Amino acid sequence: MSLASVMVMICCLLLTGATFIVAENIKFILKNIEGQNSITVYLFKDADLEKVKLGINNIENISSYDFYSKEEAIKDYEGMLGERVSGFFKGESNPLPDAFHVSFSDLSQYSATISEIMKIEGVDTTSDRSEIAEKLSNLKHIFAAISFWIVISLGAVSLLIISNTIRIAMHNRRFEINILRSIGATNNFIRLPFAIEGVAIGTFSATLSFFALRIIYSWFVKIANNTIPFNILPFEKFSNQMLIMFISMGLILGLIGGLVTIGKYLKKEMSEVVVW
Amino acid sequence: MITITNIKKVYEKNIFALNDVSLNIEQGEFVFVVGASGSGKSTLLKLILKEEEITSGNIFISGANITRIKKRELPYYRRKMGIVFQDFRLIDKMTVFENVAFAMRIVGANERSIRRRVPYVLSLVSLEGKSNRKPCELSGGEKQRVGLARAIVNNPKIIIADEPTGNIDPSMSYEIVELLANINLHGTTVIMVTHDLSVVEKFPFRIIELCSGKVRADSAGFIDYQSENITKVS
Repeated sequence: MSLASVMVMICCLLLTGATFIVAENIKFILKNIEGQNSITVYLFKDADLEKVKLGINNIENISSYDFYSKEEAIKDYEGMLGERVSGFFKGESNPLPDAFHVSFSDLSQYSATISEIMKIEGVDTTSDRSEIAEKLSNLKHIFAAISFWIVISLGAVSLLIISNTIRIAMHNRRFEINILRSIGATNNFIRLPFAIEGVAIGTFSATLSFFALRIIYSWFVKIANNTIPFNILPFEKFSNQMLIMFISMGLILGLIGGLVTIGKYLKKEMSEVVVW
Repeated sequence: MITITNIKKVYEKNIFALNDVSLNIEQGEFVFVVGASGSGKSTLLKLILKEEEITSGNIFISGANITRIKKRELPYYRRKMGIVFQDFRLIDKMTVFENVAFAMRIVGANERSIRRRVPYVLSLVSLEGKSNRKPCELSGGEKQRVGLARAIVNNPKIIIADEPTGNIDPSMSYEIVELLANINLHGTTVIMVTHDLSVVEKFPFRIIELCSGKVRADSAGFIDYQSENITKVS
């Protein structure tokens, strides 16, 4: 039964670890996307570039910006329009406005930042990506909530399994416990070996899960790097955090599982010292 | 030592396991409790061990009313007693020495005193040469002697023996009771529940007979005046 609980606990910890890894990777990818996320701020034809720069500099949520001249813009259109057509729009007859590519540090303040940009003198309009920004931000929150409930549910499953193991162990040793109680053993004296068993199951499962996850994830990273178009975090980035999390979970779940079960068992089923 | 006053134990549906029982057992006394199945012998022991609550009445042990003992104080209360079981209740994976020593460990004895006391107690029950044996290597009588050694190792004031001769052959039975009698000589109160009348007849100790939850006979002459069926055994 101990083997079964170790196996189930390993499965629970692996799933918890996998959830943690996915969450960390989503965070990492979102951060990358956020970093790359930029909008284009279009200026009026007679806009004072220096004043606009000063205005942009004063907005806290802007992490970086680049000037994007109308000449560069028409060059970019050359491929689409062809050199002959684009040739008509060079110099004074260029209909495109000057612009700035602006990147934000925090996407959740997107709308407020856009409003601030629009207040700058010389700014005509912006390319609006508020919907994408909102979706990315929502996805992060949703995943955080999902991960939280996954971890809670798996924790509850582990607790139940450890608790059942301890209950069976206590049932198997009820004869011994009866003797202990008849001689005058305190509940703490009876609890101690079972609490140790719970902690041992928890810690052992945590250690095995950590190494199993490390092997599985490293193998996954190798495959993913050749197939997924973005980078994912290497295991070493969160290995310490993961080990601490697993060991703490194993210790706490094992100890709580053990103590709660023993408490209940001693109250309900072991009330009799001598069974005649 | 043990004073039981008008105790009643009523289970569900008004079943009286013990009905208005009063007894007085002096310190250093040896008492046989006899009676048919369902007479209330087990209930009496359970109440003394405070394994079950008394419906009404009181039990005083060394002047202390055990009905007032709190749950957390129970282990310390039980340490004053040694219990001998009919089925020995030895732990198979432990040696004879360990079976006795662990009773001392429970009460927090140090290893030095365990190493000194356990061989002495084993010699009292003539098992000095078998301390490294496992229970499965012992006869029924020897197992019961280990049980006895475990019961006395912490110097209890009272020994409660529940049918200690029930699972051993008659010749060994006398030996076990003789050992209990020897322990009793040192001032330990012994309450022995038994069905074995041949043993009871052989030893000149007080006999309490229970019948349908009442004291039917008491050789000490303690009379339950509220019971009409009381008989005095001389």
